[in-house]
Amino acid sequence: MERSVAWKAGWEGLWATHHALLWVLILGGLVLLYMGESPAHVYGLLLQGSLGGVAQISATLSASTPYLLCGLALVFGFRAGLLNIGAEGQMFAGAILAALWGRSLIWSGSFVWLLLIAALAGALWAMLPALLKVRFGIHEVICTIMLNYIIFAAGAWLVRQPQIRVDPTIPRTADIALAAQLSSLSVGGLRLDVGLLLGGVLAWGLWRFLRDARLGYEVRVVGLQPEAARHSGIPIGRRLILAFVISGALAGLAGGLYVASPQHPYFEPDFSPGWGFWGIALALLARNHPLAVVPAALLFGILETGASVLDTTRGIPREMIQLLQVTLILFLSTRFFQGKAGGSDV
Amino acid sequence: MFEALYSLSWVTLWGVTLAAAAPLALAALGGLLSERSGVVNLGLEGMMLVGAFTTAWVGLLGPSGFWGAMLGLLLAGCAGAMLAGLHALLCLWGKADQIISGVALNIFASEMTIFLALWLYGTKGSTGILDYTLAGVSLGSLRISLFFVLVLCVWLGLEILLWRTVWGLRLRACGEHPQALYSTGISPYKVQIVAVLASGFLAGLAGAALVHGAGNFSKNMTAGRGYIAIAALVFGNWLPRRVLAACLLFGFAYALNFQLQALPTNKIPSEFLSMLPYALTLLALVGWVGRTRPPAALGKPLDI
Repeated sequence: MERSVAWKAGWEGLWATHHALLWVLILGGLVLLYMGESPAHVYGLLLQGSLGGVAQISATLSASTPYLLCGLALVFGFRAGLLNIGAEGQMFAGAILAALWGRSLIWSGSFVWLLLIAALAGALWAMLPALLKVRFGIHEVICTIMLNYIIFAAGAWLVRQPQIRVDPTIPRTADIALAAQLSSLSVGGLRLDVGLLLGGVLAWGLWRFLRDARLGYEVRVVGLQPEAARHSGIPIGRRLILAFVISGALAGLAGGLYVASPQHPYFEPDFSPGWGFWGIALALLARNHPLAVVPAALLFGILETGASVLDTTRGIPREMIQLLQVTLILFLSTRFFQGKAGGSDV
Repeated sequence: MFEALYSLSWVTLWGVTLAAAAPLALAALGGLLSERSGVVNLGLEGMMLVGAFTTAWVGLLGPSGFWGAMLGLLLAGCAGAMLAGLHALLCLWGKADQIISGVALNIFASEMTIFLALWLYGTKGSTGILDYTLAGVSLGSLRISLFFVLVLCVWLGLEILLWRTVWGLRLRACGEHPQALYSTGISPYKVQIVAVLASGFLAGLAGAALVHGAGNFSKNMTAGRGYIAIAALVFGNWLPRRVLAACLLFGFAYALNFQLQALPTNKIPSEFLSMLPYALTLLALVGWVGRTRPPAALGKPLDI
């Protein structure tokens, strides 16, 4: 696609997304009115709770990190025509393995190993549905959902094991070694997660990979025109596996980054509010553009931080905000919010 | 490790198999209607969930006894059909990707039921226990779930509808070649809307079966059953009787899990037992590969 056309498509997509967001906010406002709240006041509180000060912005940035990585995982899958709904399970794989190995990573700088192990675990757990799809033609959605439930059960079993847990009453693993934890940077009072920076770099890298690298191009062709890919000699199966594995590695990295954080250096079975599933929303919001996942993840970070403030101070359940997020996915999936040129390709 | 198997009561196991297969089969037969008309319905999970919530809501609201339960069933079906209507709206009018719409509706239903449970009962986990649940009929020492009787009725009805009526012919034509159907003067949109709504109704009933089995509603209680129902559909090659057989097989995995967990002599960790249905589903799909043929126009948006 020519650059100017791509830009035009990008702007139209942004405009359509902005429209969808506006409609969702109006719909949420109506529900809030029905609940006897003032929409303007509640939305104001939400913004204040997530962006109102340095501490709030730090919390929002930190909340955005898992969304960013899971969003990138889904985007990369979608680019190859895969709906990797197993990102949640791959993230569990990453978190579990990081928590198990993290206890023995005692050398300084070993957080690098921790993250690599987590990404590898996610990639391996994604390898299974990838092979089943390529070898047996089993649809990845059903396959990965089954594998999700299997690894959730494995995680629940793991934290019951006496060798692993800290305290028989708390279902979680022991803390990982201090050297494997990633402390956050502090820039003038603002807390910046290393994970978020890493996610930003990865977003840029994936964008360049998809745009400029031969492999990235082939992955895109497989996603857009499998028939054309076959005729031009692209090994479709291997490219699908590559896309699945990279997607899984990103999701696994999200799990590893969670465990590497000094606030919660352990694995517990209910650590995720469904980041892997929300990745679908981020991919739709970003219209499958890796760079656009960054603002989309920040939006979700704002909504999550703001929703938890609303939950604790005003008694408005956070599910209310999550319902608005799903409504946004539903809107964005229809042709009315696609933008005329139909999303970006670069 | 497996000596526990010897102390299982097989008659009870068969009874539990029927009870566990009933919600799967209701959802899968619903999915069959939708997919035979050419619309992928991955939202079965969510439709089961709203059906389950509605059953619990009606059961806790007041009307008790058998007719109260029937009202609950009817409303559960309608709730499922409403979510299915949303699916039809998004896919047929909004031209949304059918798989994304289905998955998104599942997340929507999950959040919606948690929100409603919180709003109505003040709990995020589960609702109170229902006073009256539909039990089964006893045949000797075998206990047959009433919902399985319902499944048999739906199955027979589907066999007649699909292969013996004009409606069934139109439905199948719509899933194979909608343009051909259109050329005979029938709108494929209408056929698909009716099929998707009916599939939502059946999935809602499947949710009701879950609540009557468990006694109450708890969040995300479907735990992948909607997706297993889709797998049963693939495994059963979109043919009602094979789909029913597949659901019985997956129901057996659930029953084995429940019965073994309840045995005092069992040494296998319950988490591994709970993996049984999911692992069996994967194995079934792998083993049956290449022997099934989906409807030709499945998942393709209509351009008429």
